[in-house]
Amino acid sequence: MKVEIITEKISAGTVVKLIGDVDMNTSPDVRTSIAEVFKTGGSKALLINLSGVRYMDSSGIATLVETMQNCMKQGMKLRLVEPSPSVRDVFELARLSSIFQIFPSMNDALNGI
Amino acid sequence: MAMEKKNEIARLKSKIKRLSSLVDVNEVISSSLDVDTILENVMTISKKVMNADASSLMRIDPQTNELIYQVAQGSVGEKLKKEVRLKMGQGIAGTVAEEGKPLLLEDAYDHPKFFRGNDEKTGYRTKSMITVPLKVGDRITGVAQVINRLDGKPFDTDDLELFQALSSMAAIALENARMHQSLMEKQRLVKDMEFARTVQESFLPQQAPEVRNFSFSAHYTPALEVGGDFYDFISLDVDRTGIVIGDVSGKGVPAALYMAKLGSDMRTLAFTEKVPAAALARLNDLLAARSRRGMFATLLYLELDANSRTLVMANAGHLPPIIKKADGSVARLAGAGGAPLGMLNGMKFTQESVTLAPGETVVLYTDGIVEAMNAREELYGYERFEALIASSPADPSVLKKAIIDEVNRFTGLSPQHDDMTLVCLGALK
Repeated sequence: MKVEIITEKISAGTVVKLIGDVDMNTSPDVRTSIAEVFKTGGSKALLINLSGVRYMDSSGIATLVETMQNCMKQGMKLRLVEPSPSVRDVFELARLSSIFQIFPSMNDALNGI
Repeated sequence: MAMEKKNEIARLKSKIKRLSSLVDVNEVISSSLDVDTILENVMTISKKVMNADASSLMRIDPQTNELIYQVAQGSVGEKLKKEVRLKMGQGIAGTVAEEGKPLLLEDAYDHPKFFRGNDEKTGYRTKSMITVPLKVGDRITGVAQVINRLDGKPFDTDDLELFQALSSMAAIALENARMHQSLMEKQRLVKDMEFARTVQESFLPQQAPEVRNFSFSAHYTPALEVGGDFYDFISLDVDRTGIVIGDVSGKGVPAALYMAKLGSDMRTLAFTEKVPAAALARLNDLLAARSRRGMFATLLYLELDANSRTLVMANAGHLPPIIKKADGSVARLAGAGGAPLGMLNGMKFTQESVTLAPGETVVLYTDGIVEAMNAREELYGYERFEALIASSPADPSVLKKAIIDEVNRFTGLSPQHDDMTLVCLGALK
């Protein structure tokens, strides 16, 4: 199972949309794409759209954690957007809402950036 | 006419002799696994059959993509071996390695790519030369070369044909050696991993703790040789026992190394911190300070007081314990009272407590149990898990066996996707 990664620059920052499973096999690709965003620079915020992610394992979450840590170092905002119900369940069960800023829609996420 | 026939016979005899050299080379290749010896012998035969003054074989160093001498026979061979490295496209050998086509030269000095520097340094005069690529399929692994026919004539197309045949065998020898070496490295890695598994197993409790009024049972199987799941029993004092279960993100070696550090830190903090929630807060900060690649762990730390039969539980993003009550019903206990460990510094954790009545059993587990998958890609799931706990005997070792047997039955021959860990503790009647 591959993951599709679409990166789009908008005025508020950079949106990375992930489509597919984010697991041990695909998270290295996600990691590389997000590293590109940091390398390019110039974004105040990174918005990761999770609406197309059906399944995310602990390797996928670790990639988001590393992204969050890098965003903090660079003074960038990280917002996770529109997690699918199955991903939301994982986040709630593991209390990840205390770590990440999670928004139900892109409009909500863009508020206040 | 008679003369012509004689010449023809001489030519055929010579051809037979030269072709029989291929059989000799074949024997050399299968005689040893030592690549240096094989290639040295192959090039000795080549030099003799080709009636050449010098022969050499260069292989491509995969690290630098440069040609280095593997064999250099002739009066200046040793000097070349020590001093010369060629880049792709550099000199005759570099050109043949880059283009993958053989080159027959009557006089090397007529070719623009020929580098005279070596001749000038050594005083040798290179004249006729054959250079052929060593190929495995489409991949070029090196080049072989013969220089100057001893009878003073230039090499011809018959020579080229024969040398190509000899060199293709050298290419096979080189490839065999590479594959043999990579196989040896793989075998060493497999042995290392088997060893690592036994080291990791030694981190786990060797036996269940002996605690008044309680009994314990545990099970652990990693999906790979080593894994990131773990559990521990820590005897804090006569009455109090710490019980740990955790799951590090990812799998395999990185998870196992993280787990080793986490397990030993947890053991120390269980003694130095007053309550489970404080131990998790300290552990979280220690891990967050050394975070790599966002790795984290979910962890459940319980302190059992055998005297008061209370269980104090702090949960860092781990799956909730399940209690089997004395009447057989099941319920989930402490849900996560904080995020997983190691993500962010300064996190706080809550704790809950429960008093265990005689006959009650608490089940701790990792997601490898509830997310065990069968061939139809169905998850084992909470419904089956809780129903099984409800219908099985409360005795921890019997219950543990029932769960593991059922999960194994459910997954059948499907490979295990994740580490599986299970800890059961029961209050004796």
